[in-house]
Parts: sequence; structure tokens; C-alpha cells
Amino acid sequence: MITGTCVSPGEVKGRVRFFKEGVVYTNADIVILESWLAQDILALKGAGALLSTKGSLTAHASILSREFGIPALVKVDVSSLQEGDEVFVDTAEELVEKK
Amino acid sequence: MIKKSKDKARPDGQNEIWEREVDGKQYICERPHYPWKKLERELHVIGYKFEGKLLYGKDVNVMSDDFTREWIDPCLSSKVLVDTFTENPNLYMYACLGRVKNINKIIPILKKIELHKDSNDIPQLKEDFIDLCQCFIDFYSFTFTGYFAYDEMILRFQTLLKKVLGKKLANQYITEFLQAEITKEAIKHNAIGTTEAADRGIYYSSVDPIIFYKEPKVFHETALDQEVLLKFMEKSPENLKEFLGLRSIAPLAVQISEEGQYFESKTFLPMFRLRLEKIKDHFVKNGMMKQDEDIRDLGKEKILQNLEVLQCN
Repeated sequence: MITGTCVSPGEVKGRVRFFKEGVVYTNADIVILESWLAQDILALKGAGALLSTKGSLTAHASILSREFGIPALVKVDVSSLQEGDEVFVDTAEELVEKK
Repeated sequence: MIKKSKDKARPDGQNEIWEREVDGKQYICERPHYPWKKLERELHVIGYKFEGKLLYGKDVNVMSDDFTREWIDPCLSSKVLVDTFTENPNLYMYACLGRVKNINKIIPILKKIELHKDSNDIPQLKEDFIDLCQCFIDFYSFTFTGYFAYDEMILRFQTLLKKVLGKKLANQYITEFLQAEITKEAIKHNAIGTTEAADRGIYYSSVDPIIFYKEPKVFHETALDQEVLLKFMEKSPENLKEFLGLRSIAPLAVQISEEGQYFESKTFLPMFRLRLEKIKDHFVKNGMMKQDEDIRDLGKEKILQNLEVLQCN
């Protein structure tokens, strides 16, 4: 089971996308970030959910993801996820399930 | 001898706590990897002593070491502060409102300076330097309330909520409070962006100053309050007092910490840096310091003395 720390609650189904600068993401994309910076969140307002390997509940970026209503988990071990994997994410349950 | 440990509230790499004893007095350092310059240390210490007196009604010990770390009285550690504030939420609110009052005092000064921020006029630079030093003291007179207590407070609140409410409701509830008035204002001013800098002092941020502020909401209601309160009353009455304490201060803590970050990185420190760099240009031109030296190493009195010499010439 893949888990993490909830910083913004929500349930979403979508496909895993590893973050690339300049790409416009939609609400069908579960975007994985290595860093957890405020400027990245601003560029990801349209994403379905965010999973970060770093970050914390009190980080600047966490407050922003909550502000924009984007479900988000931080401190996620994403090693078993691959680009395009179909997943269900329930961030309040701190859960990422591969379909 | 220095004793080192790590706390759980902050991410790895940023969470070391150092403790030591000097001349029979105990000191702690919760940010051992922040080296402060002479000017910053001189101004910080005034603020830290003010805050210690405000919170505990006593003189607190503050010192810096050879590596320019700042060591403080253990009563200002994040853990002791959160114990104190949970027990006395009114004290936390009093301190937070004190900082809001000080920021409201600083904003008009920054707006005044903004009108001539590119001026090289020596008397103007001297006046601005004196004003900005006082603003620095006023802002950092609430450092421990505004920053140090924050991560520990949110961790304790989250842990308590998860213990009593379970994961899902706890997460839904605590994230209701992860919002700040200043964040909404920063989005309006296009002032979003994390500053990743080794220097946490006056040279923290190299952006052009953007002057904006929005006071925090002191009370923050959510639709889940009644359900959560009932759960505490029924399942965990022994934790009710701690819950009520944290419930009343944690939403304010999020806002105070957030506004501090924006105020430092986008508004106040960029303005201070801008004016200090103008002063340095004069000092270098007049042989008072070298280009590769840091003007902050001169300290407040020397900077003022040099400005006076230049003013007389």
C-alpha cells in the first residue's frame, strides 16, 4: 500500500504523471513532484491531485495546495509508481491505490 | 559540550536541536545551520529579550557563538512554548496580536521608503537605515511565537486529532485550518514563490519588494467543529482541555507563520537589502569597505558612524 501525509483532502481517480515544467495538467492527472515548492503548486492548479516525495504539513506549498483545493499528499514513496499508471487517491485516508 | 537531537515537527535536514551549558546557564539552538551577521544578531537580541519578557515576565539568556549561531534560553524552545501556549491560549493570542500591531506600524514606513527606494542621498539613506533597524527589531520581537512554536504546535494538534478522531476525520479537520488571509493576498499580488536561500537574514530574498499585508483571522470556524468537539467529549474527555487550547491557537499559528514568510521574503527584507546595498555602494566608493565584504559585518553603530562621516564630507 502506498501512503503519505495528507495536506489537502480529496478523492480522485487518474493517471500518474511525473512533473515536467511547462506541461499543462488536467484533473485526470495525478502529478508526482520531487520538490515541494510554492511556485510548482501555482503551475499545477489544474491537476487532479499532487503526490510529493518531500514536504510537510506546514510547508508553504501545502498551504497553497489547500488554498487551490488540490488534493495532496506529501512524504509519499512513489518508487512503485510509473508514468501512466491508473490510480485512486484518497488523500484524507492517506492512500494511493493502483488500479 | 554540545548535545544534539532531532525533533519530529520539522523535515529532516532542518530539524536539529542543539543544547549546551555556558557559565552554568543552559542554552538551546533550534536553527544551528543559520549563521547570522553582526547587524542581524545585534537587532535580534533586542527582539528576543523583549519576547522573553513579554511571554514569561523575566530576562532571558541569549548569546551567539564563534560560528554566529544564536543560542537562547530553553524557555523559548518550541516544546516549552507549545506547552505554555496550549495551557494559556490567551498568551499566544496576545503575542500574535502584538505582532500584527507591529506589522501595521511597519507597512507605512515601507511605503514611505518605497517612494525613494532608488535614492542615493546620504541623509535619506541614514534615516531609512535607522527606520529599517527599528522595523527589524519590531518584527523579530515575535520570532518564537511566530516561527519556532509553529511546526511543533501543528504536529501536536495533528497527533491528538488522529488519536481521537481517526485518520480521515482528523485530516479533513486539520486541513480546514491550513489557510491564511495573507496567502490569498499574496496570490492577488503575484507574490508566490518559495525563496530557497542559505541566508535567512537581510539578504534572504533578492526580489523587488512588494508591499502588501492582510491581517489574520483570529477566530476560524469550520462545519466540522461540532462533530469533532462531541467526539472529544464522548471518547476522550481527558484530552478535551488540550484540544480546546490547540483548537483556539493552531489556526492563528498557520496564518502568523505564513504571513511572516511573505512579509520577510517579499516585503520587508527585500526593502532592507535594497537600501543596505545603496549604503554599501557609498562605503566601497569611499574606501570604507571592500566590494567582497558584507556590510552587515560592520554592525549598526559602525554603519551609522560611516554614514555620518559621509554626510559631513
